[in-house]
Amino acid sequence: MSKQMSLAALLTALLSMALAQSAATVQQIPVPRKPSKPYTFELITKSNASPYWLAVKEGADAAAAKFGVKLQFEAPASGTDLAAQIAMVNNAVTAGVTAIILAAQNPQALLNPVRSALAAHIPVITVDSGLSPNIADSFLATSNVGAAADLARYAATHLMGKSGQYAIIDFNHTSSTGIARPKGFELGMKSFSYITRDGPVLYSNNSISKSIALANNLLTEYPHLKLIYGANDRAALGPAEAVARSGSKVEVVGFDADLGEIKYVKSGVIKASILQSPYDMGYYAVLEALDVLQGTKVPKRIDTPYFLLTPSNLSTNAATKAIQQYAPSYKP
Amino acid sequence: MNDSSAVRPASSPKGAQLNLLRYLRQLGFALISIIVLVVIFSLLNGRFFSYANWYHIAQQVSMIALLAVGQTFVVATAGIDISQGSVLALTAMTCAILIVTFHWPVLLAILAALLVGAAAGWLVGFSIVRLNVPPFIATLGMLAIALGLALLSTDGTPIFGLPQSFLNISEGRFLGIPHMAWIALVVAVIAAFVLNKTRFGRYTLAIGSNAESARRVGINVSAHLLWIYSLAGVVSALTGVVYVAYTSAAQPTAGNNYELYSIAAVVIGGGSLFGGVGTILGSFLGALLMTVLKNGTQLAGISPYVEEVILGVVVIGAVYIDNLRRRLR
Repeated sequence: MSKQMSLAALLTALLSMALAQSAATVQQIPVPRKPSKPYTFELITKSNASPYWLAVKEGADAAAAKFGVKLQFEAPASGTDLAAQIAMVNNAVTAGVTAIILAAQNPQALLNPVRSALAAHIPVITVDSGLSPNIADSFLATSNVGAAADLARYAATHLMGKSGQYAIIDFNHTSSTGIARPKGFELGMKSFSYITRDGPVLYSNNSISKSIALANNLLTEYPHLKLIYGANDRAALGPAEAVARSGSKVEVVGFDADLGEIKYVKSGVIKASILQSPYDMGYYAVLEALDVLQGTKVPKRIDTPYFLLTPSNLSTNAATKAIQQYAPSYKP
Repeated sequence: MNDSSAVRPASSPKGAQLNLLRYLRQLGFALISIIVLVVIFSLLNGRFFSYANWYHIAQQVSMIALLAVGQTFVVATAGIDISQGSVLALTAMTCAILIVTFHWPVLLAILAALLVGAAAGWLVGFSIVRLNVPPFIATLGMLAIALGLALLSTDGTPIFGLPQSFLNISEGRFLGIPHMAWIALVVAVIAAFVLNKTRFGRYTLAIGSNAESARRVGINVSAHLLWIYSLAGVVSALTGVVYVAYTSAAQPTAGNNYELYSIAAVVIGGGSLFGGVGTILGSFLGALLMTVLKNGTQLAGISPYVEEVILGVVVIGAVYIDNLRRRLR
């Protein structure tokens, strides 16, 4: 069994290396010219009220204002209303927008609507959550597997003393990010043979209250638990709330940085969080869409930078910059 | 509301004319709103009034319209079905699992999904007539049961890889209209016939007007309610099948909150939550109004937050105008 496992691990490592090599950085995106015609771009995110997507929107708005593009925003009220998101992409195509920027709720279900956009010569740039296969003109995202593996290695060495049990609260398993983040975390933990996972991967369905309940159950069920990993903002806030209220010693690590999470990093409840670049995703997606429209070649896959935030580096300039990706007006 | 109440006047040419007039007046709000919206949206974006757009509108309205048909019958009996969304999810999962994992033929899998829907509806009906649980609570319970079972069926993971023959339910077209819209149309026409022209329909409205009198005149209210909830379950299941074809995926969270849209459609279309009133055409127009609103605001570049507010105003406005009209008469 261990031989098979290590082979699988090796293959995954090779695969992620191959992916890392083919991905470009945001610096490699050619700066487009200001368009001479009026352009209308449509930004369609997974849901319409999460701080994370609003940060993507702010970035896209900034780039759109800079280049004189009209940007329209559209998203389902719930991150799981797939039919609504499909309808929105179809509507954007009939509306005749100039380009579509999309965070796909599901890597396969959005393929057909995106195909019809491309057939109508409307460029599609995917951000954060892409398509499988990647038929979009470009895909800008965090290397979720890589970032989650980094987080796991940090957690294993600095928070768990290289041994003990951890648990995972994911936010869904329908989107590419929801699939990659637990996978990356486990990949990172695999190099520590004295560390094991307690229970199955749990799903909060993007609800903070569900995540709190799941975390409370974990604390009761596994008294020796050392660490809980929440795979996005809402999934990490749950265990943070649960741990803070119960006074438990369990460490919490997570993804993202809404203001609630920053509060918990400051107070030391959340010991580490991967900060992505939602603002940059929105900003550079607009640039790429312009590039495609102007006939400039863009990289098919772009890794946006991430930052490992911890209570000890919270006051550094780099951390402030990283947090401003989520809340542009943030001041330490 | 004579047209849809249990007791109907003997039909004479003049009576029929009067009925038609009343019918039009009842649909007035939804119909006028749709026409106004279509004009406004056409002016705001020239592409709104294109075949391509109405093809998409036809696809988008189908699911809510189907649910609204089931909901109309339930609401007409003075009941309510808030389990529609999760029954949709459960049957979507059932259908996809049978096709993808167990390689059942598509038609057989759809049939099995409809049976699951019927069973869910029957259980709701049983809780209402035998256990005396109010419809809101019975369907609230079914909402949780069906959602739980949907999540359990695959441990929460979605199912992909449905065959093209199945996906054609949404993508294929006949006479330029998508298959899924045909399904909704056919079901609505049958339902309208049943509600308006058959004894089953008259009993449905009679129970909603006054269950006690209905019982006294010899209607088997319990058996009738069992039928209605079972059929509503079948319609939810059919919506689940269509949903899977439309999204080319089955996920346990599909249809979340869709019961609210179907209730809104019924209410906009002149149905009353106190029962005894409601038409299929009205509910269908209610569903169409909501879809046109969603589609049109997006094409016009109006914020989705504004669209939600407008929708809320429309729902309340529809009921207000309905009340006003009744008082004036």
